[in-house]
Amino acid sequence: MDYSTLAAQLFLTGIFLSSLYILVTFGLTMIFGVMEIVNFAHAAFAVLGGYACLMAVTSLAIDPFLALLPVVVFMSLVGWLTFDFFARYTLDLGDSHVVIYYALLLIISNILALIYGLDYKFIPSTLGYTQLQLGAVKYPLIKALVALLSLASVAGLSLYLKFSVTGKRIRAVSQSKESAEIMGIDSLKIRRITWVIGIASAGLMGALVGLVNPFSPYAGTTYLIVAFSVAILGGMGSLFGTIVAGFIVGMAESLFSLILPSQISPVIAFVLIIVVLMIKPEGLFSRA
Amino acid sequence: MLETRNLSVGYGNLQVVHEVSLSIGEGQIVALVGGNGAGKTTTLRAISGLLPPWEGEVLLGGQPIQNLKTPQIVSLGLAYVPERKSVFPKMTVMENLELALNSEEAKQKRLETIAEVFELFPRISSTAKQKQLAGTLSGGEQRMLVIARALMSRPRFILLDEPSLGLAPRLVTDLFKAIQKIHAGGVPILLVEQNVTLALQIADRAYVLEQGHIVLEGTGEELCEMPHIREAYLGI
Repeated sequence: MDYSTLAAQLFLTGIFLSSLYILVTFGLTMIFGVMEIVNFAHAAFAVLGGYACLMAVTSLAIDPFLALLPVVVFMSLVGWLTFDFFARYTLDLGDSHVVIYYALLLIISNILALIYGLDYKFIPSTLGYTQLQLGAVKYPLIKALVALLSLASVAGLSLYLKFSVTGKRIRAVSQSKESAEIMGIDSLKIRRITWVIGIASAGLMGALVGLVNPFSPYAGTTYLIVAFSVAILGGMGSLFGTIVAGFIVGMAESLFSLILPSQISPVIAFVLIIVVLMIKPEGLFSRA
Repeated sequence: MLETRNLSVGYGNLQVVHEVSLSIGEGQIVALVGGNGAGKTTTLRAISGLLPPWEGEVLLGGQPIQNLKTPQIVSLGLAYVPERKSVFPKMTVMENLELALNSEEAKQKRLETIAEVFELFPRISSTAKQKQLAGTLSGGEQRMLVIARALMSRPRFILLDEPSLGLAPRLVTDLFKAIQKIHAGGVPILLVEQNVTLALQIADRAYVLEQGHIVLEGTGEELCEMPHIREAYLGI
């Protein structure tokens, strides 16, 4: 294989990884920016989304890509319920909320383990191993679709935040909660919708990952660590930072997969973070 | 129009405001003056619902509001302009203004209000300025934007917290002219100020707050004549 083909492969893999990392971190950083909550359970919701997709595919016998829609609806409902019965009561706890959200992570993972067992599951797809031919490069079609959907979701969410009234209110609350209250913006409603969007997007990412990688109830841990890495690198609360950091981490991981065994490739994310935080401790684009 | 009765407020265990009773009538500008740490901002925060009162009542148009949350109080027509920079820094001037449209009336009168606001504050009205991110505006422009934003909700009452703080004297004069124009439009204003001279010049009535207690009350002119005021606040 010559170098340009190799480079193209690495680039495509990088885009694929980046798209998923950005999608999962988007919700995490939004929740932090608006609610000042560090959602340790975020990746557990992603894994939940994977299982939800599996259930939708097996019980409704539909194509997994079509199943994404009921998965998003389901995860939005999960978000709504977890906000009204749980998250809203954690908003004034200060730093100690971190422990509670870690407990939530364990609870969700263990419930999934009880129901589904520890075996790795895979969401079957009719696309199987079809390859796309892009010039001299071959790339699995399913990965390309997953990456496209991830990027499209992130783009859609970004547009929503930039141009819709609620989106602007969400941004306003994250920039100055008190000023938003002074202007009559109901910050509880805004935090609820932010949480729901965060959980639904996490679930979507989990479902998309499930189409490509086998997953188990505790698979969330790796994604949790990468999501936090991306969020910290980009600056917690900065959506633009998440996008840039997501690409950096995804591309770096793809590059280093040449020389590192795949089990430890997430290490790249950590090394990057250490380097960046030593130079700029608040992350690349943080809101001070 | 706005009244407080024996309002007491504090932070944690520290009481900052002691049984303060104020009254602002229809169409009046009333000044609340005092030195640093006198409790002026605390009083405004209690009126606007950002701080829960320890004791006492706050009445807006006769209706008790001391137990309401800030968005509810705002929806009743109270606008609070805080002393700190409270623009949304990463949103444009226009986006900041439009976020204040929180009632049907405000939304319908949007264009009219924007025209009024741009006439009051021409410095932030150019097309270029409208698209500028609020965090990049100068201190004076941000102060104008915060006042303009409060006006967008077509308030029935305005709380102004130290509008002159940190501004160059020339800007302060312009700002106070704008405040007088707003007042001329009929909206009652409770003005908190450390710049006692200016405050007494434009106010119909004033209260003097020292260490959380109201020590003097009267019209702007009456207070200007009082020796205590002249020595302690006007430097005469």
